Formats: sequence, C-alpha cells, structure tokens
Amino acid sequence: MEPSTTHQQYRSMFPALVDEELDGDLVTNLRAHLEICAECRNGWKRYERAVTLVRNVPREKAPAALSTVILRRIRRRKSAERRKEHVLALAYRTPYSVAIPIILALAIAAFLFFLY
Amino acid sequence: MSVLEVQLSSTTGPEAPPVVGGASEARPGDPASFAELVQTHQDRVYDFCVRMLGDREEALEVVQEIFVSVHQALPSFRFDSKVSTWIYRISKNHCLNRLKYLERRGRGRSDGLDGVPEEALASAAGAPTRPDEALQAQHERELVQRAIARLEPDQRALVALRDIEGLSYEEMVEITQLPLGTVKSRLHRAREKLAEYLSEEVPEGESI
Repeated sequence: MEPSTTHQQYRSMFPALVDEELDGDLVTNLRAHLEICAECRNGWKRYERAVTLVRNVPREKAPAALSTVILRRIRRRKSAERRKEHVLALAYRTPYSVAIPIILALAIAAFLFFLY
Repeated sequence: MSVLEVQLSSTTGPEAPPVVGGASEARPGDPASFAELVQTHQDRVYDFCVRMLGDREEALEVVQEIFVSVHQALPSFRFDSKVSTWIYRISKNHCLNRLKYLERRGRGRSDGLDGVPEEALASAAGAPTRPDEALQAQHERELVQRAIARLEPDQRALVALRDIEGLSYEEMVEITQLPLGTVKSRLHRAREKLAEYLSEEVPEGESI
C-alpha cells in the first residue's frame, strides 16, 4: 500500500478484512495503520463488532407444521383452479343456440310473474 | 392420487430438467421432491423473512406465498442456477413487496420479535435452554433485529443474505441482479450503518 493511502481507503478495506478476503500484505499494512490511527481503529472495532453480532445472532426456525400448511395451501389452490377451469369449460361447451332461448324464456317468465 | 399429484404429474415428461444439487432440489412434476424442497429450504427462507420483515406472523404468511410462487414457477425454472439462490431471489422480491404493501397500509410490525415468551424463542431457534443464556440470546436477537429494522429494505436484504444466511458474493449477485462492485459497496455501507445503530444501542465497552 502506498504511503499516501488515505483513511477512507483504509476503511474501504474493512469488508475484505472482516470477510478474511484481504491479501496478506494489505492485511499487514492495514493492521499497522490501525495501530497508529485511533479514529480508524475505533471505526474498525465498531464495524467488526457489528458484523460479529449479526453473524452470531441465533437463527429463526420455521414452525414444524409449516411445510404441511404450505402443501395444503398449494393443494387448495390447485383444486380451486380446477373448479374454475371446469366451470369455464362447461360454459364454453354450452351452445349459444340452447343457452340464449333458455335465458330469454327465463327473463320473460320473470317479467310475467312480476307483472301479474 | 391427490389433486396436487395429478397436477404435478401432468408436467412430468422425459424432457424434465435434471436435478441440480442432489436430493434437496425439486424436479417439476414430482410432489415428493417438492415437499422435500420445502422441508430443506423453509428454515432459511423463514429466517430471511423474519430479518426482512421483523415480524414472525408476517414472515409465516410470506413464506407460504413464496413457496406457492416457487411451485408455480418451478416448471419454467431453467436449472441454470442453484435452486436455493432462485428461492432467495423470489423471497427477496416477496419481502420487498410486502414491506411496500405494509407501508402503504400504514401498518407497522404487529408483534415483532418483542414480547414473545422466552421459551417460545428458545425452542423456536434451538437457543440455549438455561434461563440466563436464553435471556441473553433473546436480548441479542432483539438488539440486532432492531438495528437491522432501521436499515433500508435493500440494505437489510444484503446484510441478511451475507452475514446471516452466509451466502457468497456470487450468489448475492444472482439474487439481487446487481453488479459485484455494487453489492460489495452497498453491503459495506449497510454494515457501517448497522455499526452506527448498534453503537447507539450499546456503547462500546459495555457488554450486551
């Protein structure tokens, strides 16, 4: 690392350092800088502490019945889709030549019923 | 044969894509492998959703929607990436949409991670069973969750994917569809924010 490396450049190495992906020479340089620069050292401590805390937080485990609920939900959805398809198919199959006179007859019957 | 099996069987054929990544990955048209896929991924997806939404009830609801989406999209999945990565991508999108929806509705977190009985927390997360350890774990969990909840949703996703779920940068690139440099720089900014928030909650030198 050049002597002109700025604090900002050193701080930009924090992610690689915390992920243990920083090259050996850079680690040495950064560590040496952290020894003499209190501001960067404190920044690094806060950064490392935050990442460590997040990484160590206990994991959430899904309730045991969740997979059953999911599979049931998918089954219900598929059933609903099949019913919808069935109704649509029925409507599609019914010939207009039959359906229209029936609807007209029902409408006339309803009209006459309410008229008298 | 169940309705699900009938439906799934109809998509099965000799051209079905190969299983990638071993038995944990699902093959379209195979209900047993889909059930296995749910079993394999549900904990990680649920954990990710809890981190994103900060609310277990919302997370449970969203996880169900995620797996319904996975089931619907599985026949068109090209198996050119890991199934887990693909599921995380769907999960991230669902969580971001849910956060937007909740914001529009003006709804905050319902129960969040606070106020949940200690035993429930301990048993849910396989946490320590000694009361003092369980209390400490609960306190840590709440502290970290509060800090994560203060991040922007996109930053929250990056922190959750990298530091909680432990994904590689390559996987994060696939999930977020962002260039590697952008992922790294945004994650760096997110961690800096997180460090700031955690320092506000627990000043340095103090134990949690």
